[in-house]
Amino acid sequence: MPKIISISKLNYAYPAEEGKAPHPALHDVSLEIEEGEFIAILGHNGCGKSTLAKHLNGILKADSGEVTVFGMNAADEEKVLEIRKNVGMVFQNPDNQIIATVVDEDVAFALENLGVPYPEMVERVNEALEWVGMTAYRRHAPHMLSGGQKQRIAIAGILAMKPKCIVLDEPTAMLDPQGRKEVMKTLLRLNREIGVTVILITHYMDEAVQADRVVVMGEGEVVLDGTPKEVFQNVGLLHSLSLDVPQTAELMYALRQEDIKVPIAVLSVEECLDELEKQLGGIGK
Amino acid sequence: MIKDITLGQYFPGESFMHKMDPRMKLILTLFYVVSLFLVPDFWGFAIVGALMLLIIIFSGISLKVVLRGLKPLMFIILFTAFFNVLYGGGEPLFPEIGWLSWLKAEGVRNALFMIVRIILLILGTSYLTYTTSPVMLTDAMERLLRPLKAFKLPVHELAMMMTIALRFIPTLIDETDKIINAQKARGADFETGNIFRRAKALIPILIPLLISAFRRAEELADAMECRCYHGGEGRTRYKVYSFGWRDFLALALMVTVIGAIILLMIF
Amino acid sequence: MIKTENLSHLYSEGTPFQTTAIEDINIHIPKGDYVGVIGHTGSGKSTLIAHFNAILKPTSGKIFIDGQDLWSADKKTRIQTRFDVGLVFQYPEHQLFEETVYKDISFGPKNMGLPEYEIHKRVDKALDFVGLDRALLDKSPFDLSGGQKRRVAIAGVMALEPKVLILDEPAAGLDPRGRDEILSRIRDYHRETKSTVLLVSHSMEDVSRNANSILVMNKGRCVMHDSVPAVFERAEDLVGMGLDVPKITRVFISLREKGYPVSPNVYTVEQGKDELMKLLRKGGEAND
Repeated sequence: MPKIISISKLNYAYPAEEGKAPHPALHDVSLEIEEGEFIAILGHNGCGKSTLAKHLNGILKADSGEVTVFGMNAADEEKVLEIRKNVGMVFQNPDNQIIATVVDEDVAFALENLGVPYPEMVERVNEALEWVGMTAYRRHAPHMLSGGQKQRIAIAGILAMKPKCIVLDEPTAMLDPQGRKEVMKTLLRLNREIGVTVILITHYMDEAVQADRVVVMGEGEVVLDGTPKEVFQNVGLLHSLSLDVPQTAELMYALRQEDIKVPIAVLSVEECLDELEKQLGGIGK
Repeated sequence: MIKDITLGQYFPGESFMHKMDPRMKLILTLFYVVSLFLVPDFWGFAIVGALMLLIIIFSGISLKVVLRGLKPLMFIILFTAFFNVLYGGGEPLFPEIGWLSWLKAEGVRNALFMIVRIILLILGTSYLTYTTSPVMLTDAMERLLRPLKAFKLPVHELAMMMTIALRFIPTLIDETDKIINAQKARGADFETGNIFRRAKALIPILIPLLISAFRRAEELADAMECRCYHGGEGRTRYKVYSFGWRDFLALALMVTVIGAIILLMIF
Repeated sequence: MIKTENLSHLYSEGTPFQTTAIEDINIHIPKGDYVGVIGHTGSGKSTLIAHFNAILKPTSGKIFIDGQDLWSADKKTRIQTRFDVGLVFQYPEHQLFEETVYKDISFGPKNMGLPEYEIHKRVDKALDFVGLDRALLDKSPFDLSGGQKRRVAIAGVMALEPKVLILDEPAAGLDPRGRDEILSRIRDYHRETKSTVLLVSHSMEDVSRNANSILVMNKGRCVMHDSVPAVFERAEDLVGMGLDVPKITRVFISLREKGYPVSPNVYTVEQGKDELMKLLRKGGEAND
């Protein structure tokens, strides 16, 4: 798969406010992202993950280092529309990214900005609503919808631009479990079925384990980078970064400390059952 | 509580009036207001009243709703009428009753004239907002005012500001409710004390509301940028309006009414 | 401490939009209990708790706080109830408004009409409970981090020294570190003050790790109200209601279904490990 985003030695510090020192946020971050990947980025608040995300479509500009997206420098003012069309971004609070008072008009917002002609615009709005499963709500007022539905509308608004990559900054943090599942299902579908590259910033481990790749950040640096299995192997390190570990891995880790030979990176209930049955081998049955 | 206030009243529907092009409705409302001020006598009001009756019938919104809307304005209407009676000239209406000497024919006529004019004015403009959503109104205004761009009037920006304001009104009303409850839970009292005390009691609501509005604005700006917003240049529109038979019919009717009024003025 | 009798609440009563938010709730929460309130969005849990400090008036039914019938009492008693039952709303940091952290936390105690030295004492105490440094007292609350703001807001309610403290999703939107910090502070507060605490949450995991008993709301009704182990005894029913039970509970339910003699009542990693070790040791002995 071709590389679509490459970040090399990126440094960024937030400019100093009155009477305060500049606040460093990213330190020598290097990362390569391939087309079609589903990447989860983990890390506690203030570790630099949102700052990193905002570099991917030129909302923030690097102090040093370089961010290349689809062969363009992400900070290039000349190509800003081209970059944002290709790297869509969804934020945490669904209320604060919906602009219009009717669902389909909101989905059309980016297309209006890009000057897409009317017939094509209607087609793309319909298509985007279909992908997020919100067609039935096209004439609804956004503020009457649930959090999960609003967030899917926000995703549709990005999807209408036909981006190759979507970056989501904690899109599920303000949602209930139902809404979280809806959003996650939508993202997986977009990734698997139309090959959109997804970069998902999250605090929820059950979301991270569904990604192809997990990147863990701490204090402005990339600490771990690998498949979920590789990353969740490091239970001790993740604890020290005050991150959650899936409960199943946590259980395996606890058993390991009792000298029971089980693998640690066990991420699903089914897998955990298999491992436990191997150990128990019918005891007490 | 605060949600009970109906702001920017609009009653969704599928009536003749609802289906008209908002641009035409806006223009015709303007004509309607002008015609009201041209009306020379009560015959003129009869014509405009007949038109108003048609509007009411073809909007599917009952007069009851509208009359309820008139209630809070009753004071202004009566106030205007009172002053017209007071300062009207002419012969006393009841010359034999001394203490009613201030009641003069001209004054009463003027007052009635004023009452009818104001009520028709309120009715006409109300039916515009009753049958046109605020967003459509904003849209129509933007499109009609577009030529003024040549005079450096930021038409698109103003319309965008209006749209966003309309979008966030329900959100901010919800938020106000939440903040009021949260401060009540800390024993805040908004109901007792004199006016200064009460004004001061609003600070714990207004400051969080203001801060939240700023935070929302900042996040919204980022979200808009991410969706390639770069001002009004080169924008296309998702909503297309076109004049249909309803619009031309309404226009013809309005022209007839104005024609009739002008005839009344001449003869 | 809190008792309800046939408590019901309708929204928009008498209009076409009338909806039943809660229906026929009969619960009794004893003094000093730590209750987890769960249920998904729209289950009525927020409506329920808004009744406990007289912010919402029931459509029918009664609420007793400390034996006092709230709505047959006079207005003064109800205002006192606001102080006796402290309610921390979702995203409480959105209610901060004062220039300094000290002033903001003292807003509640001031409304109670307490003398200055008492206010001072309470602010100090509340600050300790939420684990914030005294150096922050003179700072603007708006200069703090997200987690710190949340804690200042919670301290603002703790400073009322309520007999009952109710928190609606106190960890919403925080990262795991912030979540653990807040929940452990609330646990300490409960232990030290021996007051009644209600924790409203979507997360079965958070509730089971902190509370002593659980109240489950579903479709406006209270469907379970029992100790944590007794509620988990019916974990399958919880799954049926669309609630997320912890992964580890699901593992143990499945093990039991497969015929292993394990307790289905497992909701922490620690319990799970103990349960498995017990079984493995038994197996070891049998082999010897």
